[in-house]
Amino acid sequence: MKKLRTIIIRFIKRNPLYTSINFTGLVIGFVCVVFIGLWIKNELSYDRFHKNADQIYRVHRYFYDNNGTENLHLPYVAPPVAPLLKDEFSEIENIARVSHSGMLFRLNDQKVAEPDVCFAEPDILNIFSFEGISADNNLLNEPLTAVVSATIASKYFNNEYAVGKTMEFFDENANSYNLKVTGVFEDWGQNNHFRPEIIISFSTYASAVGESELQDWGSNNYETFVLMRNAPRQLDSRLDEFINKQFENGTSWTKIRMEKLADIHFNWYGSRSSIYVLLSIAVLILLLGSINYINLNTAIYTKRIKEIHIKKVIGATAKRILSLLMLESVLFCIVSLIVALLIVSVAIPYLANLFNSNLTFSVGENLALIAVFFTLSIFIGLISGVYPAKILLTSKKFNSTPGKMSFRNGMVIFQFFVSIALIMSFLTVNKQLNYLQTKNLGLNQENVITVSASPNHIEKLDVLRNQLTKNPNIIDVSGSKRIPSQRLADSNQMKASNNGIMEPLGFRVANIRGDEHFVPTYEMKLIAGNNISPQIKEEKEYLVNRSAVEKIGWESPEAAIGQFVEYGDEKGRIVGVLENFNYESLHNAVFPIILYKDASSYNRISIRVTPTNLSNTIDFIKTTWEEYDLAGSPFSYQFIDERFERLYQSEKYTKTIFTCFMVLAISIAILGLIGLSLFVMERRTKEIGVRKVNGAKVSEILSMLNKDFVKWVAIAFVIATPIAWFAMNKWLENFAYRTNLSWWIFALSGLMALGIALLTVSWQSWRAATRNPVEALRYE
Amino acid sequence: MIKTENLTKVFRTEEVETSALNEVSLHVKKGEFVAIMGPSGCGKSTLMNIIGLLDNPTGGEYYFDGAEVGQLKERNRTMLRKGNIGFVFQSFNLIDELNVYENVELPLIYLKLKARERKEMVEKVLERMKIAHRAKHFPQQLSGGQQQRVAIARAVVANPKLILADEPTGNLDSKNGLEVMNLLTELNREGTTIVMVTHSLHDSEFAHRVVNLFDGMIITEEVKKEMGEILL
Ligand SMILES: Nc1ncnc2c1ncn2[C@@H]1O[C@H](COP(=O)(O)OP(=O)(O)OP(=O)(O)O)[C@@H](O)[C@H]1O
Ligand SMILES: [Mg+2]
Repeated sequence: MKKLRTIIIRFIKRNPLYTSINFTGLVIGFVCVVFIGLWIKNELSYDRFHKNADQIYRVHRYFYDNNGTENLHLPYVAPPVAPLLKDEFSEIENIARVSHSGMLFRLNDQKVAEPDVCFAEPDILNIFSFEGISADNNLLNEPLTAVVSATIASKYFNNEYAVGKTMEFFDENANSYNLKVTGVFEDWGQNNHFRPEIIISFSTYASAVGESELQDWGSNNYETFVLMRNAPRQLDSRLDEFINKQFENGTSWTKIRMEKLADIHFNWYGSRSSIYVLLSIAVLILLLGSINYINLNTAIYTKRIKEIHIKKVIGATAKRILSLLMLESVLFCIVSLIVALLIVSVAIPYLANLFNSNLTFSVGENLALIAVFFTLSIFIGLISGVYPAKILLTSKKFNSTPGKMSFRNGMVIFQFFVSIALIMSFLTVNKQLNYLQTKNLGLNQENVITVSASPNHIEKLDVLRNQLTKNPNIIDVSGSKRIPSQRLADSNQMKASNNGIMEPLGFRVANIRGDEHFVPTYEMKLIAGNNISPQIKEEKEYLVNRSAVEKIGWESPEAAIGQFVEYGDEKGRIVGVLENFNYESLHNAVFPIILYKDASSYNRISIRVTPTNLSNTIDFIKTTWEEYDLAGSPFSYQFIDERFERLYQSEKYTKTIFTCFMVLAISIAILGLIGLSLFVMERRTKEIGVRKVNGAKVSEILSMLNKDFVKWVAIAFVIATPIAWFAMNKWLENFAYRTNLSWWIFALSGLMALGIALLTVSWQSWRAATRNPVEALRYE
Repeated sequence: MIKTENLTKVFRTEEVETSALNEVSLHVKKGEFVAIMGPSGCGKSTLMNIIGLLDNPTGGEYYFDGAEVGQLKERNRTMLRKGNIGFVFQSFNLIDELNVYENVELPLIYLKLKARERKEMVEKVLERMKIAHRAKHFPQQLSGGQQQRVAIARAVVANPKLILADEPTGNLDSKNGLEVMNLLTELNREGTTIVMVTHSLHDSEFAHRVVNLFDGMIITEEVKKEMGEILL
């Protein structure tokens, strides 16, 4: 052990600069690996909490256009599906419908909104892992019974025994009900996509909505979970048979599928590809760090060749020297890893925050992962040690210069390649984000506030609007179902006449249900006809967008005006055509949309305001809104533009990730370059002296010294450009609206890399070039 | 050709101040062959570096070809040195990565001569130094004597007026040393001024004049022979 210590101390003393460069590079690399390792482990842990995770499925529903293209995919199905499935499939052991809804509960004297409330059938208790609940499954059979999480129990009952106690909740119309708590279950933890806090018996819900809702094949609002230990072999075709049994030729327009619980996170929230991307970035960065290590150690060792040769002469065997060198290198990597682990354990809250993740790091929970890291570090130590050691042992001459520069040049080129590719990616992601955030949506998302609306708000909407618009800072008020930035999931069968015959359209036409103030509030553009009128007309009035006109095949927007259509059996006429607008995120292209009044469905109010005196305006909205709120629910509002921004959250994290890794990769490359240029200058000192004695000017020396580095950057650039171009094109395909990959992105990346390389190298080469040649040659 | 007046050179490091040259006044005529002798550390190399415009003196004046050059900036020193002064060192100072031809070509490159011209000149001088058959070899493949002949070739390839040789035979055996001295003498006969530092009395016999340096000062000068008829 003592011997080891002396080795390490000697090693550091010998080359403090090289050692710190090596060390920093490796630590950065390991920090990335550790962090990304934790991240991936966390991603893979989603929904794995449940004992039956691999046997639980969720039923999905798909809809298709006439030509077979999928137009809607919902993770929910209609309420009749579950009981019918249970009859059809003997393999299904348990099946449970879940209806989600946030609700107000009484806590002491206040009404508190609980977001994670659902109604669920009793089987839910057998499907998921409910710890702490008695095995008897009658807990959710009776109406107005509920099981709650430990967190809720302690929140409402102050750690008293909650079972048997009652909780009071309110419906939209402020009627109150008493719930009996029949069980308390241990909290499930963060990493579950389905995370109910209060589960109320489904019978409570069924009696409230009535039998007709539960028979409605169009109400695809029920998350449906299935426990199936032995899934049938041809599950998909049997599900198709099932649908065709319900509807003649049903699979031509709708299908259902079962999705494994364990896949939900990746299919809907995370993405498997991001795991691969992150993993490869971590590996790359670690590789960059070890490249520095290999490069600089080769440099150091060539300086040590003499020492080693003397050792050889005095009897140390090559094998012994090799094992000593390898030990040195492995130890170095292990120490770097330990430092990296310490850094991550301190920095994890900040990192988690940066990436909007709930990551934590405790050694106890990650022993296996840490063992993997250590194995990795030993492995890196071995491979990073072997090349320099080989060079050292096989070089015959005492003062031989390293003949093979090419391998090391290759590694420097690789570092630059990674840096340049990351810069290019960063610039592209940045450009696309800018584009998304500044693109004209065809509606004005700025200065619109949205608040939720109770039935009473909607009933009194005209009065409410009058009252609100008395405030000079409030311009218009509109009620609607769904607001821009939400998905337009509602659609219905539409019939239109082209050539005089009324025919069902073979494609999906999504609907916006809103009042006559919707178009002006969002400043949407009418390109033909008029807005829907305030009065209720005998004949229903419809607005459509340009895309609908084109797809139906009417000659022009003007030609659409007055056309007779049927939307979900409601006959009416087109009164106006709207210019296309992006209602959903720009990941999705514009599709046919129809807009009409349907006051009974409205649940949101949109308010266009002026940007001045905003906080006063909001206060004013709040007091007015509360006047019409019978339930006493807490007031909350959102800005539409902020909601749009949030649609690009994942792209923002992509940008953060690229920024971080770009900076790290460049830092490592810079460190490596400093070390390498230092080494090159040292090695070429004599040459520089000789050249200067023979008439070379400082500028000539400088350009000679920098030339190689410029060449490496150029090669790296040539390799990085097509790869980054390809990868970024792929990434941009995620968007229906995308910026183009301009040439300047590539030029700028190359120039940045070149600039960075030149600055770094010139720092050394300037010193070498301006040095008095007398000095350089004096010690020869 | 070379005239120094009270040249001094002081080296300052953190702890000590070394006075390497102390009021050195030296006069070298065009076409002369001067040997500088003296014990180790007396300032011979320092003097050579100043004469060779590689370094500035701390004090005194230095006239090269009649012009005061003692305080020139590095840029101008380089300009003046190029093509005018050739150097030969004890340790040859060839560039390991370049072959013989490329080593010799070096001064011509920095004089910005055309490739064809360079080729002609390099081949001529290699021929003359009897090293042409080694043109493609690298320094480490040559003997000490051969390396020094390459170094001399490099020093003279641009036809400089002045050759400065700092212990050119220091690393050579007597046979190779003699060969080098003969080459230098020959160059001198053709009109090149030569200043040479040496520890060897034998080598100093080749010079017209020997200057003895001690502790940074010239203590004696002895004339060995009159300069040849060329100058007269
Ligand atoms: N760059 C320098 N910095 C400090 N001191 C120096 C420097 N160059 C030379 N000296 C000192 O100046 C003195 C003269 O050195 P110089 O190299 O000229 O001696 P020399 O006569 O050439 O000796 P040698 O015969 O060993 O080559 C010595 O004391 C030396 O230590
Ligand atoms: Mg000397």
